[in-house]
Amino acid sequence: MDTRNYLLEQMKKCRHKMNTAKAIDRGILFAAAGGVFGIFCEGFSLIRPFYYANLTAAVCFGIGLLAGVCYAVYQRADLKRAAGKLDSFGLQERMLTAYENMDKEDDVSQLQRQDTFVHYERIREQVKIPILPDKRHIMALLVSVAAVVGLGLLPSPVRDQAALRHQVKEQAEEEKETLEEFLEALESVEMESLKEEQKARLRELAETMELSREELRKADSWESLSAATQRLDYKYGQAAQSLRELAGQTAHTEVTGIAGAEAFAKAAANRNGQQTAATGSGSGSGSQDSGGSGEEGSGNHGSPGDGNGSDSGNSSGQSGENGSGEGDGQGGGNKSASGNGSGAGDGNGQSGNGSGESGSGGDGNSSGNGNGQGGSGSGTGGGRGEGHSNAAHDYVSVPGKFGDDASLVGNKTGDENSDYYRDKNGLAWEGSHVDYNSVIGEYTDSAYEGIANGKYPDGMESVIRDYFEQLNQ
Amino acid sequence: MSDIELYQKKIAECEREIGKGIIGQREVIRQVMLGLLSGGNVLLEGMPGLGKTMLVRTIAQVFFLSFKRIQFTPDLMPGDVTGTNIMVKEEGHGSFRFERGPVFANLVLADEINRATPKTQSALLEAMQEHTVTVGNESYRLEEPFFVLATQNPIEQEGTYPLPEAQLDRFLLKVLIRFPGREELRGIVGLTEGQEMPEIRSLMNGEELLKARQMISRIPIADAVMDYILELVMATHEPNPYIREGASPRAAQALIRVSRARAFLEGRFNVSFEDVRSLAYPVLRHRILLGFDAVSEGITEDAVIRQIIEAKEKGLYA
Repeated sequence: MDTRNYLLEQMKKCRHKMNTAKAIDRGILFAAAGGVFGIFCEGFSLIRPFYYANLTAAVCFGIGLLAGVCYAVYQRADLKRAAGKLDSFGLQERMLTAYENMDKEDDVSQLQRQDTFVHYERIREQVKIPILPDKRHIMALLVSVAAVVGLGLLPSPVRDQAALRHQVKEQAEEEKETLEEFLEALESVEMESLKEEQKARLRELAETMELSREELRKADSWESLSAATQRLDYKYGQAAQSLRELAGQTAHTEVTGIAGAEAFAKAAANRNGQQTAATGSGSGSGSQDSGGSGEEGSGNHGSPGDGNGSDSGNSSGQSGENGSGEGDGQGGGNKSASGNGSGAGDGNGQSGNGSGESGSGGDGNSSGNGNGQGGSGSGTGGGRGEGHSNAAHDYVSVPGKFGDDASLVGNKTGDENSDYYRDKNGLAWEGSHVDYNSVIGEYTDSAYEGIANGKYPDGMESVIRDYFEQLNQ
Repeated sequence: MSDIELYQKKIAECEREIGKGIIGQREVIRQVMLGLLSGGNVLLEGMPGLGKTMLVRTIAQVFFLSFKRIQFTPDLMPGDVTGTNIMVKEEGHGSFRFERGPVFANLVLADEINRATPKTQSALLEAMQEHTVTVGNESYRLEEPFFVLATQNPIEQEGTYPLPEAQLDRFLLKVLIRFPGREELRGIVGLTEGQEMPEIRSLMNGEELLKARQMISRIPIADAVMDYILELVMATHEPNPYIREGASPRAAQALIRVSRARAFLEGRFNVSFEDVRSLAYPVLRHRILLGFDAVSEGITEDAVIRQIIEAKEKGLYA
């Protein structure tokens, strides 16, 4: 190997060591700097909910390390700097001059290279390029790692809150994904062959679901998630029914997509029931909001039907499409009761029972349809029944239909409650009453729809739901 | 052995030979040698009796060069330095003939140059810069190598004409001769008052000296070293309370030339940072003008240069 190549080889070796040392050193230094951001993240998570603080801190270290290596690569030494480094071992700029005149062949350049070679050989044993990084940088990294780990291990109620909120968000995300798929299924419905009113129904359905999506997005506690999920479950049920009806209306035209959307809504309703129930069993004891075990789904009572003089009492129960349905006809006369119960529940959740009950007493037919959805985490189920009967019944006052008679003392403008009119038993009272059982189903539906559409203030939804559940028991 | 190496050895031998006749003052000898090898002129500043004349005489002897000494006084006229036209009568015809002055020598010692009037100083400075002498309408070329070594007394300022900055700039180096140490003084006394003076041999001649100068001019300078030189010169122009006026571009040229000569003297074929660092003092000290703050605080040119060098030291090998 001639002098020129030998010197170049030595410079390359030196450069390689310099670059390696710099990459290590800068990596450590920048990782330590990244650790400072990690410390901020951990500190922030102590005062504000920040679930990903640990992960972010680790990422900060990683980014710092990467940035350091990238910086070292960007600032990597070339052969000239390597020559300068070798000169620092006492070569008195011989190597640098040799490098710059490497391609010259005049006598001075050759003598200079030879002189460099001779002097380099004398000091070669002393040339040590340190690979180990600066001790201060190592210390800085260790300190930042220790600080991040220490802060990360500190217990904090804010962190617990963040963890809880994260779980809620994850659960909400799952619900949202299901909802998104349902919305996609809705969008795939071929709209062209539908009537305007049918289109409007579909649009309304989609808008209602959009509200739920927004609600899920905002959910940040088990209470709000539970409420949103329940409303969504109800909406799925409603959607499945609406789509079924729509499919029935458009059976001859074979509108594509409806069947799929309907199937999806049903599946979602069932799945949600299972999921919620499963969630209930898992966390029932810890959180009241998450619901305990799934309770029995209750169908609304069927209202007494019209009597038709038949003595044979029967009761029929029709099984719902999903889950079980029960229908009980009670009392004499002909009574028919149909129960559509849909419910699903696994784990601790019990299947919902939709029961249609005939009106009690009296003759006549009574039919009841009970649609029960059950198995939800909160232990509530929705059901409705409808029926009619000519039997004696309670009365329900209808707002706006009483108290208009000028002869009555105290009308609706007096803000008195209805007991006043009951006591008075006035003309308007008698004339404005409707059958309890004929409207309770409608009222319940309206209330549930209101809950589903988020019409009521937070906190009042469960009160309203409980109220109608009690009425329906 | 190549010619360059041969000349390096010869020069080193010459330096040792000069050292025989001058006790101590190694640095002064070195710097005067550098001035001679670089083709520049040197201003020596020191007390009388420190061997300035002896030094120049010895150098002339070693390099086998002609030597003249001019004692500058206030009544010294330019013609006394450069020479003058004198009327001569030859074969019945009168004519003028140029009578060469003492400046027509290889080595000229201009003793106490600051005692002459500026007009006379200028006559010498033209010779120093252009290596020519103009008398009347005629210009005469001086014999090469031409080297002026001027001296000035730093303490006796009365009745002197300090060299203006522009003229100081024409000196390649300003060398300070310090009083010798005890042992050196003993050696000087022993040498001059005791036994015989050692015999000084002539080892080179003017032609070889010129050849050596050519070799020196081919010594390569790395970019980093060149940058360092420029940075040092530029630093004298940066805001500094002690500097009123920075060094001229001649300073950078001078640093390059003498650094190459130093590398050559030390047997190297490249210029190092150390060459530049050590020569920054004699090159810059007469080229920077100190401000009032420096004068009032007693700060010298060397202190300011040291400050600049230290500031530029960081990152040389980064």
